[in-house]
Amino acid sequence: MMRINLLPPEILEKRRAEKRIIYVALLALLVFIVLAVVWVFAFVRVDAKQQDLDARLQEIQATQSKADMLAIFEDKEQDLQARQVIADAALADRMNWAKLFDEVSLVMPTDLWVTNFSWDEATGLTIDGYAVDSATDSPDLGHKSIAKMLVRLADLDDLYDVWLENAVKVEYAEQPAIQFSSTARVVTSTSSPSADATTTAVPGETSETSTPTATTP
Amino acid sequence: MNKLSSINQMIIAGVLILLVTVAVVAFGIMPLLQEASDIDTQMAEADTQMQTAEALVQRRLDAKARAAENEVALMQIANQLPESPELPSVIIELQDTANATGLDFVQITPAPLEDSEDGTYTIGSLVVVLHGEWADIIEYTRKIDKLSRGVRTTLGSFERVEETDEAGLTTSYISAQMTLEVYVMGSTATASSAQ
Repeated sequence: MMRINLLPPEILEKRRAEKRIIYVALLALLVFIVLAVVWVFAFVRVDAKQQDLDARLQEIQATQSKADMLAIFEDKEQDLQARQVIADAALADRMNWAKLFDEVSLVMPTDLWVTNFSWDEATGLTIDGYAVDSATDSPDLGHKSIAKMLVRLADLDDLYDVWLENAVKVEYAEQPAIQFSSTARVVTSTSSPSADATTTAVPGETSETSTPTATTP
Repeated sequence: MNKLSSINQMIIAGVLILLVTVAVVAFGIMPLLQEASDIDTQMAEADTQMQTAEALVQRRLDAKARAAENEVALMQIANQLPESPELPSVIIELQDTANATGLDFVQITPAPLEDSEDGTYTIGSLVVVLHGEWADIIEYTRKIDKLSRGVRTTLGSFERVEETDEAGLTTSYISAQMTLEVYVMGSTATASSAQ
């Protein structure tokens, strides 16, 4: 059986156009809904992030306030460190003179005595004194006690460049004696045999020249 | 009047929908996404700031935990290098040390204060003269190194002195002249602590 539409073609076309308008309207509505959903989603996300950020900023502010309250302890510690540096600089390389004097006392030969003992951080020790010079000994021991003293002083860790300035036979309280004067330099962090070897070359005062004198009897 | 065909009407409607969609995306959605991205960046910066602040707090809490210890160390340094010369206390300490070692504290001559090379502290030199025995003088030099006030012995000399009394008896003692240095904290350190 054949189906026959008796409507004129204009009316058919009009009905098709009306249907298309409905589709287009539905499509527009769908697009609108999708866009609205996307916008709402983005808006909510931004809002949530903003709230997170605000909370985090408040937290930072609170932490910073706490840090500010504790700043005094760190300031005190920094002050301590600064003062410690100054104190260390002021008191650095203090020579332990008592130990050195003790050692010198212990190593000094018993047949000589000291009349003047002076010292200086920069220039070291100067020892003036007398040695016994027996008139009856044979062979004459003479200056050997002075040599013994020089050897012993040179063995001390805190001394270097041990040197004899002078030793001469004299009378002391109507007895024969040998008057002597010797010097030595003191080891510090800025003054030591190795340091001086590279910085000074004064004849008779360098470690190279002093060693034979200190060890030769 | 020319009426648009239905096909053209559809095309125009489609274009309009597309334009509206583009406009909404460009002016409504993209700014929001950009804003979200900006907030993410700010959040990352905030995280960094938070970590820095927390590290700062932790460091200062550690300093707080050491506060008592630091206070003791500060007191020790204040005794070693006070902020003023405090000459009377030095004299008392030197006299007490001389008494403790059996020496006669004969003379003290303070020199004017001098600034150190870098200006961070001031040096006060004192020339002291003591009379006594060799062993006592060694003990004295040992004890002054251990005083709470920082003292440095820079130079000195010992000399044996003989004296004959009215009865003709000869006695001897050692006369020790020593140059001691005491130190005063400089104004720089004092100013920093006052802040």
